[in-house]
Amino acid sequence: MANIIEVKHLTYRYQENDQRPALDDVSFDVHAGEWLAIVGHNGSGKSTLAKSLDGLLPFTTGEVAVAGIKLTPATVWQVREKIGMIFQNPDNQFVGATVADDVAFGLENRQIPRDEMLPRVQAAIEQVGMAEFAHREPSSLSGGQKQRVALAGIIAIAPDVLILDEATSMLDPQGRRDMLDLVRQLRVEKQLTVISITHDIDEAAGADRVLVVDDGQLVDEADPATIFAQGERLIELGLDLPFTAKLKAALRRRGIETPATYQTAAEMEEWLWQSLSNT
Amino acid sequence: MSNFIFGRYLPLESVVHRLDPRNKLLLSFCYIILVFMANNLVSYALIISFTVGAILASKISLGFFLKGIRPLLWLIVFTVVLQLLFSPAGGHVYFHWAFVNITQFGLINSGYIFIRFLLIIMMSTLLTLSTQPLDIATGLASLMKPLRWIKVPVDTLAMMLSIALRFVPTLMDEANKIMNAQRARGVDFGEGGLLKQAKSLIPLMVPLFMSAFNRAEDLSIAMEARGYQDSEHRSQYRILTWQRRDTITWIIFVVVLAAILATRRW
Repeated sequence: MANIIEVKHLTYRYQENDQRPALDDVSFDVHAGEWLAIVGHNGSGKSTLAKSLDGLLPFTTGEVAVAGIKLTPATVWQVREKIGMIFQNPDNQFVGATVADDVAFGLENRQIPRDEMLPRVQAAIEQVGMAEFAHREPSSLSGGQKQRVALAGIIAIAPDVLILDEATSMLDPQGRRDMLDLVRQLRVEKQLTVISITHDIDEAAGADRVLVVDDGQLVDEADPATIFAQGERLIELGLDLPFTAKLKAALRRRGIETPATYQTAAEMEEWLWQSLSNT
Repeated sequence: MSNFIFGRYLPLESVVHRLDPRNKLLLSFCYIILVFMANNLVSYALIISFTVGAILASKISLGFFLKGIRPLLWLIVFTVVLQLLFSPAGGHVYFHWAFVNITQFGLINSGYIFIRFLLIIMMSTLLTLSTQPLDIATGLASLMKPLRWIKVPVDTLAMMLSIALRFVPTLMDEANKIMNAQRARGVDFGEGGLLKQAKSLIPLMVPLFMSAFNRAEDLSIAMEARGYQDSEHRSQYRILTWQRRDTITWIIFVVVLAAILATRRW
């Protein structure tokens, strides 16, 4: 697969004389169409990384290229055309006075004529299932609904890459599931590349590839199965374990041998049935 | 506070509600001038019937309306009484004591002031009751357009206005949450003397300001990520359309204006 984003030796300091940079010589590629999860504990530099990709933080050392465009102050707006971002707090990124106004915000910025805007806004709102809320104000919506509106704003401008910067961390479990299902569906329909920055290990478990960030450095890069097979080491990095890994650890403590490789919930269920029916 | 309607919006379906907000803003502005043109009984009768007609057309019940502006009545009565007691001598003197004169001139004058106050408050309340705050902001922004010629950053102001309006309920919620959180920790709001009351506001104001700064930071990053560069190079999703009913209201207004000018005692 072709690389849509290439990051080389990215280093960023919030203050020039910071001893420990927020990002320390980070290099990685993002393949077109993949779902990449970036995990790490609080303050590990995940969000700094996301903002650097979109040119929101001016890094001094290193190089970022998005869809073949090298990120410089001159090309930053071109790069932002390619990337849609959804942030953590649903309230603080809602610009418009109503749902429809908010979805139209990105289109207005791109000077799309109004005749073209109307159907695109309408279609985007319908796609996230918010059609009946089109004229509602943000104060009357739930957190999950506001994040869906943010997603509709992204759909309307149809970027190549979608970055979720802890976009589900302030939602309840139901809202989180709905949001992720919606992103999965969109990814197939619009051939999006998704970069999801998250604490949520179960969200990361659904990705194609996982990057582990610790203290501004990239410490691991592999598919979720390989990452989560490391078990204890994840806890050392300040991360949580997925549910199946926790179950395995609990079983092992009770003297039950479990497979060393990572298993999804379905695989784990299958293995449990197998081992029980064999005895 | 619940029956205080000044500045609130009442969602109803009526001709007045559907008028172009620019039209309503302009009309209200010109209406104030009109009120000051009237200076005799006939012209006041005209303008009162125009006002009542407008309120009736908005389908807001007159009783609800009058009840809603009652809290403001005290302010009006206070002004009127001052005017009545301290007006300069003129006409027949009904009552005289020290420097207080109740004269025919003062009586008529304070009557005028009472009616003018009432009419202006009624019309501006009608404006806010029948127009969504958002539409008022859009209307104001559109009316300010000519100011571009004198280098006023109209689009930026309009953006600020719309963001400010959008965050009013959000910040109200937040203020409530902070107040309750501080109450839970033992802060008494609205208790004690003036100094103590003012001091108790600090644990509310400081977190509220800090949170507003954080919100502004988040919002500006989100806006930039969504391609916002500056207000001038944007297209508009929300547009206002001037319709026939807007023209009709102006025809009515001009007729009333002409009638008042004709009956006015110069």
